[in-house]
Amino acid sequence: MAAKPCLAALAALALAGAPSAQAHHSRAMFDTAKTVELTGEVSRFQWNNPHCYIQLRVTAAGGQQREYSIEMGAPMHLQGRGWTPRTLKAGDQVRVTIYPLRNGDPGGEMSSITTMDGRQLGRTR
Amino acid sequence: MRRAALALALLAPLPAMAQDARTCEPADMAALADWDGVWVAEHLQADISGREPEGEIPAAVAMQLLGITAPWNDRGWAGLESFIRAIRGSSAQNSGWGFPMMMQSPAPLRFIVTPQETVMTSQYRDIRYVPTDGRPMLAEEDRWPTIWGTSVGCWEGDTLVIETASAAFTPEFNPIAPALSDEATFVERVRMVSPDRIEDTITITDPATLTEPWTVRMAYDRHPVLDRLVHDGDNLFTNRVVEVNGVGTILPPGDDGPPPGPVFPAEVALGSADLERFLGTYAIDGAPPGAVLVVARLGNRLSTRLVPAFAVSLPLYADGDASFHSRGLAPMRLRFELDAAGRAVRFTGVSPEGGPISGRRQE
Repeated sequence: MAAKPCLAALAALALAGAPSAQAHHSRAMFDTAKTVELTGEVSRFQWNNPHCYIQLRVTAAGGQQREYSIEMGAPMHLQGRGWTPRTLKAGDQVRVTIYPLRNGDPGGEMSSITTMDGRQLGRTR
Repeated sequence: MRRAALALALLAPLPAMAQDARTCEPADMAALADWDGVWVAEHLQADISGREPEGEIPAAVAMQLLGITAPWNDRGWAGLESFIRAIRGSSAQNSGWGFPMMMQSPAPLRFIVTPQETVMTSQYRDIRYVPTDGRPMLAEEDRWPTIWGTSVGCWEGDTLVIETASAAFTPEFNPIAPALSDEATFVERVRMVSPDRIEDTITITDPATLTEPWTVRMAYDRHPVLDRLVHDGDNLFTNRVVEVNGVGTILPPGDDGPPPGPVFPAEVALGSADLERFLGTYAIDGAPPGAVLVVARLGNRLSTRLVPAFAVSLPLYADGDASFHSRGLAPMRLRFELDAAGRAVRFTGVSPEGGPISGRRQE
């Protein structure tokens, strides 16, 4: 009898690989063993398949600015958690925790997000 | 005579459809009212990251229909291995889930139950039509493999029993699916077990890929947030993930908005008397008889209609005393020549295709 396939390989299949001409991609590009906390200003909230993105402008202590690309799920996933395209807008200040990109580029996968006073985003029915 | 005809009619054999007819409509539609709403497959409500929430089982394990525990034969194993190769790559394009995966995917579902048909649709526009009017499964010669298959249903009390056949595994549409053969048959028993839970037990028979029938028990929870399905479009150009030197990264966002539109000459306002000079029908030089350009009034502008090539009136914008351009039929431009009385008698210019065009007024 042939061996069962590696479950770990299958587990790499993300829910974010939901369709709509989507590009599923491996999560390997993110370092999920590490988290990075960011506080910054939303410069753009992109509500699109296959992924939504937050562009977050982060100002370092020395005043230098860096813009992070933060990947989220598909619009479907965000809707399911009470988000709409109006949940965030440019200029909003937020606290975000991400799993960073392994290659060092400024970006990562969303782990959590709150307003500056700690409120969750999205609404319940 | 009439009585004899009636007797003969009663003795005649019933049509085939009538012989096959079953009573499959739900006995009590009111009892099925709770099927309305939005449902999400058990364990598959993603977090805003698109991943399973912390503590939830991995999506690919929850999606049992992918076949990690199916009784595959050699051909079936080869299909599963092909699937694993696909998902280990950097990207796998999906256009939807298809059947059976739409019944166990992260895309929320609706069950729209009517007496003679139940329609199942997902947030990614997968759709199944399940007639429950008593018709039998279509004969093999009347169906062909499709991504969602051919289904017929029959209500047995509070359980919708669905037979499906001719559901084609189509990796070009969705590689994240079991590689069953086109001859696979599916029997589902779908039942609401509580107001917030529907269960669907599916048994798949496919001797071409399975050593024995394969049964998967699925369930749907009433969605805690959604009360409608919204699809946000297929925006292939917004995929921002790329590989650089074998490592994935996120590209910066593209520029906002559509590409800049064409630039047109500034419009010049002409008075009503000035516009009247140009009204009429103009024969187009070199065109077959009957091909004309009709100039008419459209509010405080002119309109133009090319008959028969483009017989729709569109605004004509003045950009000089006797020159006009079309924005819908760009780069069409017309310059009129006036007679001694100031009435347009002839035009020259650029056709909608960009070539020269000219014509003269028809009297």
